[in-house]
Amino acid sequence: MSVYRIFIGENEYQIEITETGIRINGEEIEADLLQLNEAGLYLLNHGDDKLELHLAFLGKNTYVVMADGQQIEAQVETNLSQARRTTGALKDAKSITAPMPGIVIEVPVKLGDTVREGDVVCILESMKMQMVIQAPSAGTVVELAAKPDTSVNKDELLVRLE
Amino acid sequence: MKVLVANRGEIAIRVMRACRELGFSAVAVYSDADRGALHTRYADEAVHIGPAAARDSYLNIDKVIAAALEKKADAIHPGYGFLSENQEFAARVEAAGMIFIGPRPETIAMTGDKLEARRIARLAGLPVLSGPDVPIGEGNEDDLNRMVAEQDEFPVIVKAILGGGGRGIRLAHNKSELKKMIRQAQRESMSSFGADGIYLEPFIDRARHIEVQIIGDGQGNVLVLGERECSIQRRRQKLIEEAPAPNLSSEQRQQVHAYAHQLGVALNYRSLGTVEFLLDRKGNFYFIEVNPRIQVEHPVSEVVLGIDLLRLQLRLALTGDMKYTQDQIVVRGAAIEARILAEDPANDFMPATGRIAYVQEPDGPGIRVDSAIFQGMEITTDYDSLIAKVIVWGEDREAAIGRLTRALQEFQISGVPTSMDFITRIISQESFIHGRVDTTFLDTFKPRMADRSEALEKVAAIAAALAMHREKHRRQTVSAAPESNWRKTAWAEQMRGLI
Repeated sequence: MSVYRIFIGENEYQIEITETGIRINGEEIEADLLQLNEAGLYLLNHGDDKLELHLAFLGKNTYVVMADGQQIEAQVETNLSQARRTTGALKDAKSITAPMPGIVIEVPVKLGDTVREGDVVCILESMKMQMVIQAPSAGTVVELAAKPDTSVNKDELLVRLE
Repeated sequence: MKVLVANRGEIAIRVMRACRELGFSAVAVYSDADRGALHTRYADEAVHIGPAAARDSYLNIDKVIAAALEKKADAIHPGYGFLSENQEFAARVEAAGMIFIGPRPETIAMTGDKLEARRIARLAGLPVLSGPDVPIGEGNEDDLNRMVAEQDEFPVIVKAILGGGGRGIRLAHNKSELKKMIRQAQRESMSSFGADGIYLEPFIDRARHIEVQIIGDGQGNVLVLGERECSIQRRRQKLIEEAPAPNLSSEQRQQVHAYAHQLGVALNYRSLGTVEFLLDRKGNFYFIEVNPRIQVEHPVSEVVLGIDLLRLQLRLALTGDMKYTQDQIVVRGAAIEARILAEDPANDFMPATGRIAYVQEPDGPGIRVDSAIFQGMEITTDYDSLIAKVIVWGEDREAAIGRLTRALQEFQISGVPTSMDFITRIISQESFIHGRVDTTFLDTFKPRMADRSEALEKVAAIAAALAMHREKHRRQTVSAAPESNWRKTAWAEQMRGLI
């Protein structure tokens, strides 16, 4: 028997797969996954229902399941690997991170500057949209990670205040 | 006949399709980011014009014109965005002996200056929103302070004089907010349009956005090609557009068509263009601006008119003939367009990036998809977040809404979050179904996007577990067997298929 723990958002599902059947959270179900093509398209038959879905493997035991127009990120923990759940980047109130991926247009602060709440610390641009990033609270700039004309990912550190 | 298309994405393909149908050959330009893009592949010839950043490629006039001359193009089509509203570009295309498929450069200059456009519209007899016609900007602090001090009516809209595409526009609710919003509008205008002049316009609460499609031959003849309703907007970007505009009386429709015609004649307009209006709660129209180019939402007009606007525009540029007379312009049924954007509903609709892991476009009766995406395509931050447009036609509006709902159910995109689910929720709202929408609709419409059904999550969990189980089983089989490079390769291939 193989046991998988699946994490989707806040929820956890335990799935047991044996030679004879499948149980989800202890409840016996009928399910069969039919691969439709090499591009990741599947048909899941469960009970009398069927659902076309696409599975993209992101690495780190994570799949993006696209079904019914929804994209669901599922982390799989196996009874063998016991892979640790990855959690989102740790944020503290003084680290100002990028709310979207984009290009840094301007960083109007310097190291050592004192800023007030609401002061502009960074201007980002993504897909023609400009976004002004403001200091969430007063403080002193102790780290300047953002550099003009470079790209940043979502949640990447821009400026750290102390 | 050879046409260089100075654009990318779906509109570049749209223009090239029209070229191909007319027997013209199409030349693409592409940046580093678009080497494998669909528009690059679709074209008969393609010229590399520089790095991914638009200012060094698609916005670089020298490079675009050099590419056209190198390929001996007869004409250049600018699409929308990029250089489409750049008078210098239009003038230099013509100076280089090619046809610019669009209005005359001086028309682009007039309509690009929003204050000038407003002045001409007023002279042509169109109703125009009152507001100080004096521009401020170019860093003049005294003008700015005086403008803020003299403004007593709120809320007020701050607009960039050279604005367009919803950029350089801010709403201010009070005096203290006004200065901040002016600064933001100026900064955005400076980086988008290279100048920071702004002006103020009264805010009309719960207005509808109605626009009229026109075409002119530059000899004083202007045809009105119906109107569109584009009130569903977020951050001043249109999200859903339709033709004809619902809930207009025939007097109102005739009125707004007449206004657009008057302005087209006053401008001695050449090529395709759109005259944009606000419609207030009392039924009054106000001119806002002219868009001197093909628009994103042009397909809804094409579908209800049964006229290919791109072909018409290309043909007109070549022959000077508009092909139709006004009495031949007839609207039939209803059309709706949904813009599919790469943005994350779970992150306040911020632009989102990623690789398209899977795409299945909708199909069947009454559905048209204009897109430039493909499986494996990387969506980057370099360009617009518009990745596809779904356009439907129905014999009436109700049928069109039903079709759009079906189309969005059929449309499958994985790998990058999109606006699709959000649009499905909008079009199922009572107010949308009855055509009672205005530009504030999305300010108050806040559907819970996270209410995914538990049943679907369970199914996803089962699928992920089964896939992982299968993978694990395959891996064990592989490692149990004698080491073989062939098997390892085969497994890697399988995994690649999943990715």
